[in-house]
Amino acid sequence: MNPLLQQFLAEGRDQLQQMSESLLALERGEQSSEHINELFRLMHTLKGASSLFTFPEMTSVLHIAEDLLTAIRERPAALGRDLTDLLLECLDFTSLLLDEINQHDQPLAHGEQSGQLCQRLQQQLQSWNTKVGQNAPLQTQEQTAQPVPTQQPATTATSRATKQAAEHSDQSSLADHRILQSIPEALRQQILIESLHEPELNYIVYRPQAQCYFSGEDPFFLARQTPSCIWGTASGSSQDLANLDPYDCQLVFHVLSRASDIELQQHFQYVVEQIDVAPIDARQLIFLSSQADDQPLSQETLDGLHSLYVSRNVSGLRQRLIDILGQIKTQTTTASALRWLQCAANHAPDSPVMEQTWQLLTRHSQYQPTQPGTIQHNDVNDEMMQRGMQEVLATQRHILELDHNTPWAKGRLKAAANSLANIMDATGQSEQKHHLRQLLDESLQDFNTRSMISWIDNLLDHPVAADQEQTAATRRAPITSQQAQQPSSPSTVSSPAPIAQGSGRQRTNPPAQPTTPAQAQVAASRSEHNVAAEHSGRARMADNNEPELTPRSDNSPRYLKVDQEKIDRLMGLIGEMIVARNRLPFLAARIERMEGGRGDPVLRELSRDIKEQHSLINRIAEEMQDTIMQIRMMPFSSISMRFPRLVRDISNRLGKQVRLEMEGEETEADKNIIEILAEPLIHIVRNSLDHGLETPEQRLRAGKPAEGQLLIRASQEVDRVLIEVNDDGLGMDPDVLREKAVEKGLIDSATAVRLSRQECLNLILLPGFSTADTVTDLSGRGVGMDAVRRAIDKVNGGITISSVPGKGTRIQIRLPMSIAATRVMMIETDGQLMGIPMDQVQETVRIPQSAIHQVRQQQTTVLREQILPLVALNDLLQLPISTRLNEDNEYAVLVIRNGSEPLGLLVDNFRGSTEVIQKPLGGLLAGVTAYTGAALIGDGSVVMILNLRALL
Amino acid sequence: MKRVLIIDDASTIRLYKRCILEKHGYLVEEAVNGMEGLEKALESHFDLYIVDINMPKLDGYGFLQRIRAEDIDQPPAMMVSTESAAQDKEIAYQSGANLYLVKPAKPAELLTFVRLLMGDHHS
Repeated sequence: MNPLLQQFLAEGRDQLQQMSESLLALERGEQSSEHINELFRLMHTLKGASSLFTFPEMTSVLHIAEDLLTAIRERPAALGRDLTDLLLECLDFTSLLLDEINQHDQPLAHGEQSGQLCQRLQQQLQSWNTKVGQNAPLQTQEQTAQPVPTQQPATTATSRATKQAAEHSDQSSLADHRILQSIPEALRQQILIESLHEPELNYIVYRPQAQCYFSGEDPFFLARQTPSCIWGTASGSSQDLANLDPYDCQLVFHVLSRASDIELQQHFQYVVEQIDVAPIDARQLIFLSSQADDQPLSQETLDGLHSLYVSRNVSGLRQRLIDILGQIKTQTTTASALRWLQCAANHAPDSPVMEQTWQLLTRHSQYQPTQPGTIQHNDVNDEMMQRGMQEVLATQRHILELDHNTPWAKGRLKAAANSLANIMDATGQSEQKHHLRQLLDESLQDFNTRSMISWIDNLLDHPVAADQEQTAATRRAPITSQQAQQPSSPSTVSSPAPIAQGSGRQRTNPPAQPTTPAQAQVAASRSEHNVAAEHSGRARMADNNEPELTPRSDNSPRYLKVDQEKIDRLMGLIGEMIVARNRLPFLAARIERMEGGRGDPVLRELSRDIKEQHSLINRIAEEMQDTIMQIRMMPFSSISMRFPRLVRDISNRLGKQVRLEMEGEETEADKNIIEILAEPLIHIVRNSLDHGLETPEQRLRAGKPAEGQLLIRASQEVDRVLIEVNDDGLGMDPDVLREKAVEKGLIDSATAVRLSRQECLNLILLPGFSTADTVTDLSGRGVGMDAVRRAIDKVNGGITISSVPGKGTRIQIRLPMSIAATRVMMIETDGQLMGIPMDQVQETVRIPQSAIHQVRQQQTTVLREQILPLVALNDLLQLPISTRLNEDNEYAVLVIRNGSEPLGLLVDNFRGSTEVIQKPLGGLLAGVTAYTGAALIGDGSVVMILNLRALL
Repeated sequence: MKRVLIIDDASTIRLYKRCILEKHGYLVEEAVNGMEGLEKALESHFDLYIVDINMPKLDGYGFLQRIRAEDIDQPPAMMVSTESAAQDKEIAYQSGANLYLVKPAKPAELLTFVRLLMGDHHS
């Protein structure tokens, strides 16, 4: 992928994340101006970057969203949930497009979705403006007609507001232009497009009798039921408020329909004398949405469009329109004209509609094509330099005329002089520089820039006559203020030079413009390539000046994107190397065991060398392993960042107030672990929100604050990662859980009685256990906590549940930081070596036989004043051999973590710990649950790794 | 080699400009906001500043006003922004910009003005 695009994706994702954080902060009511500014800035930046590429849907959504944010920023008020939802939806949509770009280099088409989104944003923008009451809404006051197809009933209020419009419509022709104007532009365009295939279009005016309500008629219903109705509106028919009879029907309905005259007559058969039907040409709907202020297009832009239009380069035109529309405000008349042209170019490039929409634009812009001149290259050429020079000179002239009452005026003056000097160098007039320096020195003394301005005027070409009036007008203000200071040099005022400060139309003095259509087309298509450049076209790059978008190696990004498989492979290799390394001490020992090994100095030295090499390789291997593990480490934040949004959405849906706190987001763990954690955590959080936390009313009744607390915390515990989810909700009652489990037949009642409180809580981890009485769409979709446990078991993690009824629930998940290499404790039992993962081993102790007591059926001992239940490993493995004692009559006891309770495991002997790479059991052995896998150890033998969880 | 300081909070835009400029033999330094731009501009000499408007901490106008108030050898500054409104342009000139371009500026356009403002002939 092109590096620029890659950068855009990475940056875009960051910005989306930050925006969603700002939005959520705003919703929480945190310092709104700061967040709204941040939000606006990010949206603006993202939109700006997106316009470097051609992602029209993204740019247009972001564009309107930015407009909306501008409106919000200018007239701040509380952001409602609707608005937040909508903006979040925009972010989601953009994020979706980014994902698609990542996969396909181009976003897929989402015409309907993006159109709808834009439309809703537009609506919000309008209603925001209306709500704050400054900008008038889009529709003019006298036409606030309600479209019939929406859900709103035509109330008396509506009819009153629109009666004026009705007055006009009653008197004028059937399809009144003012009524048509209330059809939204997008709908008019849609009707136009559809009319290309389906020309039948009728305009119906329906004036119900004033007494119709008394005869049981429902005119509104009848109008809404018009067959093949496309659009409709209701307006009032009476103007005289004082004599208005509220029991009379005052409504007039206007409906557009695709139904034929006959169908319509049939539909309105009982009121046929109250309707008028007339066919209407869809082209009558082509007109501009009139707006207050406008943003005219530059002559250059219009010339570009013109050449595309006359050359019938439809695809080029479409592209160009997307570009331009991405850059101008959506509510302007110019934008409306461009959209009509776009509509025609997209759907009817060969019909008269195209001509009509083009004229709409040219008439609105008062455009006259520039006469074709010389060729414009995309390269920098003399002509561009010449034109650029004029512009820069004029700009500096303007700068020199500015008010000098600022602390930075001196610097600004110097910078303008430096710019002028550089222009002289660039255009081969370096001899002028000396004179310029003198003028600058003079000017710096008293801020009298007259001499410099006259000097620029000498350099500037004679301005085109048409420009004079305009430029003189724009310049008048700054000049008058300066004349007050020093009334010299009237000549400057009377001989105005072009100033490049307005729109591009003001700099029409350059001699040439692009343009035969064909040339313009070439230029346009080349520049497109250029912007979305792939660096594949090296041949093309070689012969022109387009930039090659390959960053130089010394400045290339510091991040490397690597296929995860490669790192997995590296991890596998280092694992194998560790096993090979472990073989070295065995080799050394073998040499020593050889005949005369200890006595032979050569062999002894060899053995020592091997041991030395072993420790060296050991150090390197460990460092390597650490480094590779580091590569795979990901911060907890990579999954936790979705929680604020998740919690917000769910709690809103449930009508609960929840404050989410997160801690330890920087805690790192292996990528696989973090990824495996994602789903279970979401499930746990959902459970907390759905079943744990109560509604505000319930909470208040229970004497808790209305806002529930949810704390998600990650921390590191030696070699494990601990993730905690705490809520201060209902908690779980062990007795209820016990009953449920019996009820569902998961355990029998005899077992149930024996269960401790902790064991009762653990019941929720059983498959098929669900405490919720109702299944909601949030949690309880059939994946219960058993799925959570399975996922955690898979990576050798543990889950602990604690809960106090009425106070809340805490769920702790402990996970190894890495799953690649496991440290195991080697133990011996029944003459066999076995491994137990170190993270389950708390300590090793030796306990005299005399210290072991039989309590009921359980062997126990007392370890540091705590009762420690004991289990013999041989019993667990169903080996009919009792555990061996050592010479001092002591048992080797491995204290392991079993849930939260410690347990002593009696084994024959300990053999120290070692690092192994576990391989899962395959084939026939796959079903054996007593072992999690097998591993190769240093001497080449295979040891089984015990799965204590399955055994206990 | 002449040095350009690009001040923009959007990394994509910075990369875009960097590529264009480096292709044509300029040395490019980047700053992610006006504050960082100020630090870099005061630390060493540049031949041109290319400045964005909307940035966190210190925006483009603020950067220009503050750098123009310093006693340094004032290099030209080019302001590039998506805003095409006339008043933005005027504030830019008031603040000490020497040229105002509407982005996304085409490579050839950008290059033309970069060369003019830095005194390089194109051939």
